[in-house]
Amino acid sequence: MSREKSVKVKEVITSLCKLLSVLSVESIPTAEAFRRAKFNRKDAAVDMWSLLSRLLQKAFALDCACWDFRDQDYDMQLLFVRSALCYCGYGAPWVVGPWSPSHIKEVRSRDLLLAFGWVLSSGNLLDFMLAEKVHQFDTLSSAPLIPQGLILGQPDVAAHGPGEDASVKKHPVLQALQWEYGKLRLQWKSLLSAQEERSKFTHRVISSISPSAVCQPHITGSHHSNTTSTALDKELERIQALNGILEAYLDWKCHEPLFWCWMDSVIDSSLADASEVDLADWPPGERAVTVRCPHGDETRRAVRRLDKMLLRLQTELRARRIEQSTLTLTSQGGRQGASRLSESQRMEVEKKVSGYLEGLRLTNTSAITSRGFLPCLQDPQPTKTPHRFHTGEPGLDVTAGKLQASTALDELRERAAVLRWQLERLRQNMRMEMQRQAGTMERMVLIPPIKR
Amino acid sequence: MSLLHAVDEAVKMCKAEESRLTENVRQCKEILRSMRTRVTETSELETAAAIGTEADLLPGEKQEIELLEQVLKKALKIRSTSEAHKELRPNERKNKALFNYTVKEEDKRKLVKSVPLSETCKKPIHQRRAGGNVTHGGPWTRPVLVRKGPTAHPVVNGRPSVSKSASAKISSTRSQQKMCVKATNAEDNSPLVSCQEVSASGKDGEVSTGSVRSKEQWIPSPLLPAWRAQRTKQERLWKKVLTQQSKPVPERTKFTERLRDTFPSELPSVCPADITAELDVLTQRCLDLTHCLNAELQAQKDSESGTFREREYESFRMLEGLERMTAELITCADHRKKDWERWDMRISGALCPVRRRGEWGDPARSCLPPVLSYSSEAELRELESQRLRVEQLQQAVRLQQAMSDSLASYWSSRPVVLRGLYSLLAEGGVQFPSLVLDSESD
Repeated sequence: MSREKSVKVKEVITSLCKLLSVLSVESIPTAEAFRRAKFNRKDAAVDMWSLLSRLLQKAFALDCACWDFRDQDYDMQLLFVRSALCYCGYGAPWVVGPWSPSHIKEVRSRDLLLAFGWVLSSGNLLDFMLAEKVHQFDTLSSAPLIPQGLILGQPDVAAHGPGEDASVKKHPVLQALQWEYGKLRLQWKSLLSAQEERSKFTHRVISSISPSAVCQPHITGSHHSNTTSTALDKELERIQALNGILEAYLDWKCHEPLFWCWMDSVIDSSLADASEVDLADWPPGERAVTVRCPHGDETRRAVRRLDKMLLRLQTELRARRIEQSTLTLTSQGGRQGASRLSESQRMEVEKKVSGYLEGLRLTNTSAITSRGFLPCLQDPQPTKTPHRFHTGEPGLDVTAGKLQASTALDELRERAAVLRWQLERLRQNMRMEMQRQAGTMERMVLIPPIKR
Repeated sequence: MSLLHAVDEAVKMCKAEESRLTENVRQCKEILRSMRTRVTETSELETAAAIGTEADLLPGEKQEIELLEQVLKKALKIRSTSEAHKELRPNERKNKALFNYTVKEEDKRKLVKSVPLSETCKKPIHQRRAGGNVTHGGPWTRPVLVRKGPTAHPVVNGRPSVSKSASAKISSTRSQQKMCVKATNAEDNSPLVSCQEVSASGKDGEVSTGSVRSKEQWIPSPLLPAWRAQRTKQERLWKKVLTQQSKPVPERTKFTERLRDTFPSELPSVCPADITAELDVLTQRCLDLTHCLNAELQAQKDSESGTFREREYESFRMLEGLERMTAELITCADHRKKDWERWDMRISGALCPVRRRGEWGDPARSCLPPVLSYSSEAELRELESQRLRVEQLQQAVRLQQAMSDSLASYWSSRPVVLRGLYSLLAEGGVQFPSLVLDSESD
């Protein structure tokens, strides 16, 4: 019985290893190494270490410039691995301390195995890597755009030194900014037109997938057989490789429950040994803090910054509210207050306002197309009853993995409208402020450009 | 990060994205182009000239026949070994396993192609040899190259009948989708069999452009059916993947929970990476609210829209809403702060800040791209361009916020600076205001 079980376990681990290898993770150990790691064999530690390290490199990116992945510095590697594990929530003693290992050899293979299990189970890492591969291999898939970094409040326009005289440098800096901004606008225009062209060709390729499609006569084929085979050949190879990856993933999914059962047994054996071995590994009381990252306080600063901003905002709002209420009180006699508005007017205003506020909330959530998608031409005559979600939640569609273009389009249009409103408001705000300030200038009149 | 740097990064990102798209377009074009190949059929052929050059031809052909035979042997050898390799042991764990597999597939395919090629090539050549002594007689047909698609069982049928009839039309029988006749025709005067995969010399593709008599036909490429099959297979597999992915795996959650129980109890369940990500989101929302408030206050000063009462009520409601949202934000931020502090007590800043490379943190949210079904090309085009436009607008809003924060101190009475500032902040750099000197001459 146990022999059968061990064979099954080997099969399961092998399927995981195969999946990892097609997802381009390097230096994958054998299934045997996994088993040895469960029993804390020393030789398995090296294998598990390199696997864990490589996997984490694929999963995380360093925010600081402490370490280059090509570096062979083991201390830094240890710091990276510990940081990455801690940041994804792994709270084992060798990661979060207080006694941290000073050398990678001090970490036992079973601990590494458990950490590896945690990385896979606490999130969707394998799915993410699969999605990356799909976007890489499938010519027709629409990949998500690279996320843009956050520009926090009160940045410098240019990286000025503290002692420089800002007034002297204003003009060229401003000019540089204008130039860059113009470049950005142009870049977006060309990007949008490139996207249009791509959609056109994507559609053409998709429509030739179905066997009923006839090759359009106006596309010229190739004369030379050498070039003929290359493009379609390559595409065929890519799709075959992708299919291999998908099959490996499905295979893994079949075996997945068993793998986690086995990992459970690893926890069991680790708990059994815990009482004996644990603290003997590193000398108690000695905090082996070898390398420290200078950027480790980044989040603390971010928290303080956010606190400040929120406090300022809250105070401002409160002040305005008090001001407004006193204003209405004093002007009660003179002007009619808000209570004199008709019900319908009030409703209208309320609807407008709630629309604005909803929009504000919306812009900070991720769009329905934020993971990209795989386009697929719908059958013009669906044979089964159309399962259209007229009033369904868009979330429901997406969790089932199917998305209708019309739903996505609606959401995107809504978002675009909200963002345009936001942008226009900001600009209008600026316009009025600058016009007001210009009004105080002597001998000069600012004439704003004509609205086109 | 400084503003200029941020804009520069944005430009770079756009450029990278654009180059990716153009590369994609190029690939699509190549694929579409390679879906069809041209076939030329020869009609009447020179008789005397053809036969006359036969003697010259044979030595050249002999060489090619030898090459063909070599290839044939190699093909048979590799095919027999690749059959054994086909049952790849599941323990095949080499990193290059996949690569090897695809390479073998490709080799197999190519050689499968050349097997019937050589077989069928031989026939007409042999026949020709046999009938080569016939110096007179009707014109004969060019031997044609028969290429097969990548099928596992090459069906050698539909051999071109080498007829010595007067109407020398190459009759090619096509099996359902597996065969493709690809005749490469040299000039009428110099018939040469060019086996495209065997001979390195690029003698193929010499189409007799001058030949008025040759008809051209476009036929689908032999790879097309294979590609279609693979594509449909991929669609099917992907749908399976999506359904599988949505099924929960209770053993996995159990493992996670059990492992979490072994951690020190003061650690919160949210992990630091998620905390930092959420802090970013909260900061952005706070910025949004701040700017909204400023805009609202500004709008209050000059109420132009609607009646005074409506405007007042509107701003009253807006401020109320903003205050509510701020309160929510503050509660969220407080929670996160507390969570972070619990982690920080443990780490105390000794670790490097890392960031997840994607959005894989939440096991409840899928990160696999869904299948989007669209009904027309216009719909797809609009969808993709709207997607980009939303990204662009989002970036523009963020830049606008940052600019209005940092350029506030740049106010100066110099007209150049003023105009530049106005255009950037108020018009998005598109239009410029005019400044008019208003001096009254006394």
